[in-house]
Amino acid sequence: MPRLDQLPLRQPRVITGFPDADPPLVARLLEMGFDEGVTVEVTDRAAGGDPLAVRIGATKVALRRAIARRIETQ
Amino acid sequence: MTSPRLPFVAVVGHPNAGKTSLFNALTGARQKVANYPGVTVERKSARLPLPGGETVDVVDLPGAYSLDPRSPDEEVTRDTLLGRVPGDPRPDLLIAVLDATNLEIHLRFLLELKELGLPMVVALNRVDMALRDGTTIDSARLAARVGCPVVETVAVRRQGLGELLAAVEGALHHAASGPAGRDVPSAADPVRHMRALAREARALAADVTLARGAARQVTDRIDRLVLHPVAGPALLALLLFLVFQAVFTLAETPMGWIEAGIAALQRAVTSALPPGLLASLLADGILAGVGSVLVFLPQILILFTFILALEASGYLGRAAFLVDRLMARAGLSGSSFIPLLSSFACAIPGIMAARTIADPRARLATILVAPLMTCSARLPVYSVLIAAFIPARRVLGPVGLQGLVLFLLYAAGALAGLAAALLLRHTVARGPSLPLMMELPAYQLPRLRDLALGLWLRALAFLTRAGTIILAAALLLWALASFPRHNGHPPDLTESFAGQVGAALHPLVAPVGFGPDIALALVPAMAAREVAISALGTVHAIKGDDPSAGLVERLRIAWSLPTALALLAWFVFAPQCISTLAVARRETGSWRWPIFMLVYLFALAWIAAFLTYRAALALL
Repeated sequence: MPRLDQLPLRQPRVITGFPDADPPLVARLLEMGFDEGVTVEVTDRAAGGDPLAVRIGATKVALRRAIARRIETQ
Repeated sequence: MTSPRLPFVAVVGHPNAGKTSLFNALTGARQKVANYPGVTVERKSARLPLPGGETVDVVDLPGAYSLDPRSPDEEVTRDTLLGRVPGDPRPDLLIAVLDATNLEIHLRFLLELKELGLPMVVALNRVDMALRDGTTIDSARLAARVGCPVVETVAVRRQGLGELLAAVEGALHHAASGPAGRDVPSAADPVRHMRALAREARALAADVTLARGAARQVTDRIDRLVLHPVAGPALLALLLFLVFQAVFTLAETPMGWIEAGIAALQRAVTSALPPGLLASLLADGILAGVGSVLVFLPQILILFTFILALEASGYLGRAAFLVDRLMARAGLSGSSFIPLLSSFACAIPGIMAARTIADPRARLATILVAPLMTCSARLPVYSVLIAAFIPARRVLGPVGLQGLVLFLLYAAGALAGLAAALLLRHTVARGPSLPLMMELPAYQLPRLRDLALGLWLRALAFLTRAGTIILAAALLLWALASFPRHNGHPPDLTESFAGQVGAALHPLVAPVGFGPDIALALVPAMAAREVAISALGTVHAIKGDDPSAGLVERLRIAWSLPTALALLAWFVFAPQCISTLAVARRETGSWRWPIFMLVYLFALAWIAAFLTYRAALALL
């Protein structure tokens, strides 16, 4: 299943889990609105492909690929 | 209760909930800005009358995503909510600010706050923007579900404020007999607990949302340009260029007014008082010293106008996104961009802004390199030296050599800052970095009122500094230059205490081409860099209405070109500012890091000046 960093631009997907994320990172992700069953979408990529801008619910979050790699989608 | 105190109300919410706009709308110019004990987290508070005549103390807590703190800012929020901040009681009531356009995520924090058991009133903010998106929320149903009053507000348009205050009043009376607050429940599995709250919040949001529109289409359209891999960085570069142009060109006129005003005051003093110690103290000590710093107020305010406007519009987060990779090469992340950008105005607000960086090592590295960003206090030093030693020649089209040298000095500082950060992240601030994760708020037009208030608070902080530490330094310098007296007359400068200090320090800086006059000027410049210019003015015994023009002429005769270039190189690096060191001490909690900062920056300055001096001697 594709990880968030591999998704093409503007294709909404549903999060299925946070493999390889340690509990503090999971807590940070939950605070920002990431969770299993929530729809995410990569809206923009910076030059070089890192970081990403991601829509999550009604918010937008900038995050590095190193984090996006730990978010698994359908 | 042993001593009667006013009810204590805390405004709490996510960083982008519109919390500060709401606080500004409620309190206006009544607010007082101070620091929490031990940390430089700003504590904004105000005394606020309620409609029924009762008065409460309101505090605007730093924005937080949860009660599990990620930064010193969020720690203050949690500690206040738990009643652990010395000097503050536990809040009697919370005003929780929720963003109606983003209810799911904000409700999670609200549910977490509910667990504290404190009386609460919810301000459902930005209902206008939610409506514009086509989203309607049943606030009565939300109130019933969460068990506390919910008031719809539009903080930036001052809508719903009366109802909010009435609800606060009602809740306070109702709470007088209610239960006291609880501690944070310590869940066996915190992540699981947080996830449960997040799910509950999403279900709750779905339940109270009557209609749901497509959110943030405008923001998405703007972001396609602003975050574009090619157009985005180009736009940022253009914007930064315009900001710096504006800082230098727009400030010229008001700076001229301030200079003229100070000169007029000096003339008034010298004509009204008999020549002697008192006239000298007022004109040469206080007016010259404080005036030489006050003159930078326009530049600082113009730079802050841009920074505040860009921040309020939501653009600064995008800038952090764009520079994140560049910063990553220096071992930092995009979150260091705002502190470093602010440091171009002054390192003090820059270092204070670093408290929002979640990664403690990246935060330390950012604090340590902030003084390398060319602050506005260095500008007068650069201006005088460039005017004296760099010919006003055109290099290419409209680009002049003087402007080019100024740009190179700025670039040298910024590049040295990034290089130093990289070095620090591999040595004293070593460790894995916390990758960037940062909310990109929806774009909005900055409100004039919030900008004006923010600028006023900045101006006040700067004037306080000019009135305290810079005044003290000016007085000390004046005393050192005016004593010991010979038969009631001021001494020759070389015989004064200041001259003796300069002579004693001269051997240290002689290898880099500095004479005793520069050695002497560097001492008071520790208080503030720009004092170096007024000190050189004193040393070279410049008189007249326009001392800086006279100084340019005198320096041209007194110094060789290699000496002048070495001094420019020195000022790119030298940590000539006691307030910066003091703020670094408060922010890092000990003298260890400011002393480290002092030593490494002086070492860099000495080496840079030495290399410049020797290279110039060999080449010119």
